[in-house]
Amino acid sequence: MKSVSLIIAFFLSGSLIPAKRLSSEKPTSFISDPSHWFPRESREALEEFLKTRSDVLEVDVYLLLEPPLSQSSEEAKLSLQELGNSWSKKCWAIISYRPGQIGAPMIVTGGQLQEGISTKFWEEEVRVLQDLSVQTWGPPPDLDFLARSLSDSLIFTSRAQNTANQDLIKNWRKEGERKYREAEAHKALLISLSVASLILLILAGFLWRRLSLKHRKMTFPETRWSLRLQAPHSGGTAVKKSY
Amino acid sequence: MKLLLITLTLTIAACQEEKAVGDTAPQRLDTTFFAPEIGAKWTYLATTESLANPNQRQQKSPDLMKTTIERVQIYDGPKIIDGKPYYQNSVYHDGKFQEGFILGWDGRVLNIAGSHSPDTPLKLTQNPTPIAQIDMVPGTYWHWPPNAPIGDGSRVVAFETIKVPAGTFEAYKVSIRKNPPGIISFRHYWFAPRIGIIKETNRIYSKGKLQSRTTIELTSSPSGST
Repeated sequence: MKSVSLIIAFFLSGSLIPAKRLSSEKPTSFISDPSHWFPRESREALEEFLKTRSDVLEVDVYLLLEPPLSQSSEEAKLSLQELGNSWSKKCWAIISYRPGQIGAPMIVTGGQLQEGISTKFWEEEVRVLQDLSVQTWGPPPDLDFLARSLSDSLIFTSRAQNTANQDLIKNWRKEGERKYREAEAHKALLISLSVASLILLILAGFLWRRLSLKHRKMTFPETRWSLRLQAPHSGGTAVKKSY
Repeated sequence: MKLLLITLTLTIAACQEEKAVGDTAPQRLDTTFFAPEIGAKWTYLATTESLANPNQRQQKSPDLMKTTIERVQIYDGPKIIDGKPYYQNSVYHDGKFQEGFILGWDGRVLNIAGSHSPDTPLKLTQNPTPIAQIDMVPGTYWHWPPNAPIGDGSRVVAFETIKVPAGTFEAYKVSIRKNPPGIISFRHYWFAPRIGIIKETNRIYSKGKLQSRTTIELTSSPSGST
């Protein structure tokens, strides 16, 4: 009898229950709630909201009320990360909560959002939402609020990132254009200055030459002659003048 | 809290122009998105749930106090302060004057610029609260007040279709977060160009509990829905 109890206890503890493998194929519903924890109307309204967000704004938020069994939260996170990456190529988040669990649901995010986002900012954002989800009228977390707010945050963050990138690109382009214009202007100025300098130089040279020619002393070159036939003057035939 | 409950007046425009959803939201609104007419009236239904006893510990069925009021907002007309034009609005709860506020519009950003009441003259605030801007898109962030921690302020989180008693509108969803010490206020409003604020939700948390939850929905407006 004792052994039977032990076996039952063993089974009930879940140790021998194989961890339920959630399919890596994209689920047809954004909410997985096999125990019908969510009231039907709330569930349908949230499902419609999440579907619209996925179709129109390309943000996938999944709510799992049957999280995969794992030994530690780190393993569970890794397992959810794999699922998210196989389910969605957009910005995505998975909210994992086991009905009856005390504390805030687990949130794992990924996809395009992870590219270039400030990890510190996002972790803080998720933490605030987790905190708010357990600050409700009653003990169970407000999953409806959490799913909707997380979807908003994903949209804001991804769009803010895109907007910031676009602004950055615009700024880079403006800066590049400004630098290019400055470089072109600089080059044009240098060429102009060079040409002007050259012209001035030529003019200066020309003027200098004109002036120097104008003010030069014109003297006959010194020459020597020998008396020819004892005459006091020569015929000056050796005199040369050059300009 | 007063600011949180302020909803805003906007315009009457004969025709509805662009229709856009999601990522196709207009990149830049035309300048007529704010052009109110004197006497324009917006009627809302405001429902507030709050803890009857704020000191009550968390339990499955807390005592909730539920109140519903009719909120009417009227655009009184323009006012000139220091040479600049402002737009005066008055809010009535169940027929009684509740509060007055003035809007500032510089051609780009629309904001709540001050307040008034029958007993006090118009008073401009040092830190106007942004409501909308001409080039708003999902991702737009207004950090206010200037000394608030980064993360506090208003964020445009979506452009979506929303249904309220007054009709169906295409509107920008803006999320506001303010965390004064000990209190977290989490507020959303939906702003439709040329119409105004058509819905607002507000949650206030304190001491680890949800203290109150308010929903305000437009029941009639000067111009029609899309």
